[in-house]
Amino acid sequence: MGYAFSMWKNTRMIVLVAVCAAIYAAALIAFKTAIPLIPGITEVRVAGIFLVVFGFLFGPAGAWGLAFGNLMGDLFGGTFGPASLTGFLGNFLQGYLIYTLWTNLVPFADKVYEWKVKSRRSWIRYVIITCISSAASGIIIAVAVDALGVVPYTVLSKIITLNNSIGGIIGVFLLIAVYDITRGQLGLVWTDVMDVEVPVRRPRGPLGAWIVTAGVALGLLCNLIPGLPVNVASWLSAGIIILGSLLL
Amino acid sequence: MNVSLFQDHDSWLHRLDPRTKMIGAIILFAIILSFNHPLFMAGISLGILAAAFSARSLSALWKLRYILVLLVAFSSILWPFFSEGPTTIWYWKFLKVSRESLLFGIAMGLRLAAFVMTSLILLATTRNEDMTNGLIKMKLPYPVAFALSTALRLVPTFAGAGATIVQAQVSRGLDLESKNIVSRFGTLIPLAVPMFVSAIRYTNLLAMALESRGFTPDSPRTLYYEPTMGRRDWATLAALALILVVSLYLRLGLGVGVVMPGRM
Amino acid sequence: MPASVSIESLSFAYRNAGTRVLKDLSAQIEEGTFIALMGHSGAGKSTLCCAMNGLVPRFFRGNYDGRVTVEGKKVTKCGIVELSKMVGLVLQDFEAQLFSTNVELEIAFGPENQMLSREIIRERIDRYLSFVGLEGERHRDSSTLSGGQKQRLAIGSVLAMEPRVLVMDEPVTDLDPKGREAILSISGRLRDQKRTLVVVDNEYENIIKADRIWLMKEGEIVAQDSSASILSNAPLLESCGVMAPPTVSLFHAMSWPGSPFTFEDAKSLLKEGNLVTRREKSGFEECHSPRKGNPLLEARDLSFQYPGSLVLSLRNINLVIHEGEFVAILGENGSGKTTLAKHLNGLLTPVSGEMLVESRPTRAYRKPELARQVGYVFQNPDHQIFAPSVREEVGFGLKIRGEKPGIIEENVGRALAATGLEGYEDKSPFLLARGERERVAVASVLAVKPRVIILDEPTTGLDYAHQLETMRMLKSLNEEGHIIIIITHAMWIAESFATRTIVMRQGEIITDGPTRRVFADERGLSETSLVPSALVRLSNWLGTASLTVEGMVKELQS
Repeated sequence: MGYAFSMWKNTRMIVLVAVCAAIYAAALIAFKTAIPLIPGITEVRVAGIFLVVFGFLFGPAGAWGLAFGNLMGDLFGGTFGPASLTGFLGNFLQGYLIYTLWTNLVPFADKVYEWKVKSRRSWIRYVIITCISSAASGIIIAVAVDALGVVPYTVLSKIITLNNSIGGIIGVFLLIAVYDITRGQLGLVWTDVMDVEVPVRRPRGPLGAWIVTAGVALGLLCNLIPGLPVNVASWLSAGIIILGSLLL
Repeated sequence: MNVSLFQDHDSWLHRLDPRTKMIGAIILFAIILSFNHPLFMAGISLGILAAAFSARSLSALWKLRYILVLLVAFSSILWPFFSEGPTTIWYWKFLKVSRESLLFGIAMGLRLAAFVMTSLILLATTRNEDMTNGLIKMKLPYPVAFALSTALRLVPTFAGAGATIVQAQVSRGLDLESKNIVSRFGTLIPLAVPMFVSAIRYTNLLAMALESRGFTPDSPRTLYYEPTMGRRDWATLAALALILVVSLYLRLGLGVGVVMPGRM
Repeated sequence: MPASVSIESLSFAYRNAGTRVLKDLSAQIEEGTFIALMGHSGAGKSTLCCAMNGLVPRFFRGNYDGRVTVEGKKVTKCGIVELSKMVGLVLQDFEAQLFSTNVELEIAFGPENQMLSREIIRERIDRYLSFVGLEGERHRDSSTLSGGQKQRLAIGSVLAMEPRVLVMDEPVTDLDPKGREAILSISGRLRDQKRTLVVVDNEYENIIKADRIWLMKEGEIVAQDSSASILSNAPLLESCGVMAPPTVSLFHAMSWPGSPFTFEDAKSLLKEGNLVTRREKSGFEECHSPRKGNPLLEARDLSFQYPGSLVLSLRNINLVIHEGEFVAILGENGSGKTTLAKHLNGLLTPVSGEMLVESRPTRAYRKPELARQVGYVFQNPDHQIFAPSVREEVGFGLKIRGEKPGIIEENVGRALAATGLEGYEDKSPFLLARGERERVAVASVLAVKPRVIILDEPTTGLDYAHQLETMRMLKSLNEEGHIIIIITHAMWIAESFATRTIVMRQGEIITDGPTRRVFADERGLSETSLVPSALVRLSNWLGTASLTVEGMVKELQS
């Protein structure tokens, strides 16, 4: 969690939060009413292609940017309400998991913080992390929205997971197109902006990564486990995901 | 695209402290969550409409009329199938609609509309800076508040850039009118990449201009607009709090305003 | 007198870049002087500006050697807030410098960071808003200001921090003539107040009042001298990619004594020395009337109104453009130039009247079909570049039309050759310099071989050498048979390249004719706040038909 807070001392990172939030919000608002899946809650998100790219390239700034962007999308798209708070948390978590899992999810993790288009391991890592982070975000949002009595958990968690995973995976083409210029010419990859050569991997990192993964698995499969009511399983899963995230 | 919903009038709601309006909106959310009976929701919605009228914000609401209608309509259609009540009025195979679930659906639609109207009044009567200052006064760290207000300011800038990018690519022959899903998909990268790159190029410039203006993230600064809580502010908050207490008593103590017990 | 700013053997290389941008620079600025900084793009002007206010090396990291002191203090030793009281920096991009939604808060932003009291901030808002002439806009939303007003606000908000030295990096480049005028009058007043002022600007008209000029080339200051002596040295200026005053070049070519920069000076020198006889103004039209081909574009009573707007953006436009023409559209910002241009390729369709391309209304075309006939190069190349290589970028328009690979390759090759980009095929377009990106944008429109090419401010942001290169390329395309239409603020570009000039104001065409005739009517132009260049005014006074130095020399010697 350290970088997510220490980044607020860095002017470039603060501006990156604003820029990411503005792009994400603009894309959300532009397509808000285009294809609503559940009006007022979620829609087909073209903005999804920015999810993983922001999280990966701008790390903590990307995570905060997604969170604020989602909040602004709600505010100006006219879908603001108590559920927006969990939207904030869910989108932050997605960005956060992308940059933390990249170096912590052993054995898929990378020792350096880089995207290598020619490396098959980079691609596998990208897809796995996209799916895990999307599901974590979906579960957290759906648990709370269900509790508010707006949409049932089992429907919403799967819609968000699928929606974000698809958007995130398509986003790889955006990443390929912009990685070199962002890293080389503009020097805006977060590890360079914050002067961290390699993000520190503490021993508890990989543990956290796998706890999150386990939580996600429980959350997605909870209606298949006999004897465990869905609302108990879903809250349990959300708790495990948050616990694991705090260890990262 | 103009995303600022603020409307520069002089009404009692405009004059309230931004903190009052933000906390007030949260209390109002809680009141809205207290009931799920359509009549009660309609009453609350009418109250909010009256507030919008007194703040001369109805024209801002009018901009969102389609979303509001959609919310109520969709919810009224969806919920009857997803919730169950004792008085079945229609069924077909496993689908079942009860009187209670129908009313619940209408109530949920009105609830979402009430949420939207509340936040809209807040945005229409509160300047971007005032909101930020209010958040700072409520102990939100300045860099966070600054990022939020800058993001709000950048949305129209980027939306404008987005429109230009669309025109530039259409001028090169990019076909956005095609009905074919696959070719629509192919338009994503020629649009998203310039959007991303031109915005990110902007980042360095913005950060540089910011530091030249003496911006230091973690040091204290003066606030030129200092919001102050006046008597009206405390009175407004007290009134809202009273309504919340009454609502909770009605709902929890007397069980009034409910068509679907056991749901929020 | 003590040196206000002192630069001592300063060298700098950006992180991840091999070559040094600044090479062992040494220079001094005395208090109360106005220094102008000129040089080609990439010469290190902006980097030097940043080094003066400490952004280099604090914000832009890299290898830093030597030192910069302001009033005896080393900038590298100062904190951000302390520096803001020493050196203020105004940038070219006015949008990027505004952070607040209303005008007075924008001025307050710097002083707020300096922890000044609310009373002092209020005084500064009063003082500097009236200094930059925005006191009437105090509570206005800054995003609704015009470009010129935004730049004035940016200057005011930097001044409000009361820095000892004010540095302005190309403050007028993105502005229209009216906006420029206002900024230049502000810098004139700052000079009268004996402020220490550093201005980067490559157009000599804007910095005639400078005490000294530093001329930069490839990271070094190759000359620093009084502005009169630098500006009269045409070969030196041109070797640094800076346009020399054409009146100076004319005087040198004619071996007339003196090096005047302004029309008035040139006129009085000529009168005093009795050097030349004025001719009758005649034959302008025959001499420069364009060879007219078939009409290709035609607007009939065209009017347009943006949705939600209360006024017409275009009013009763009637216009025919023929094959072979090279058209310049001039006018203030908001006069409808771009709106008109967007009708020509169907991006916008008229509210009333007709826009015809090859006698068929643009409404009747599908957009990709029209794009094939009429190409449009947008102002900022970054708004369209997306592909990993120049080859793919330029071939994109052909590829989405489903052309065969062989044909794509042939056309791309031809477009790259025409734009001087051979050998760039496999480079990433993002990593090219601004001028090269501009050419990639032109090439990508050119590759589909449209009969008409419209360019929105093709030379903004380029230095003189690149401007000349771009315009020569357009001229040769025109000679090959393409209709060229440019929107521009640069008078000399319209004067020396366009065969026909259209002047717009408030959505109407007020003048349309052969360029020579349009520019002969100085009074008519001044109504739209356009001022022809000193050379053209001299040509009008002399009665010569040509608008370029070479042409005038030829006429005057015959």
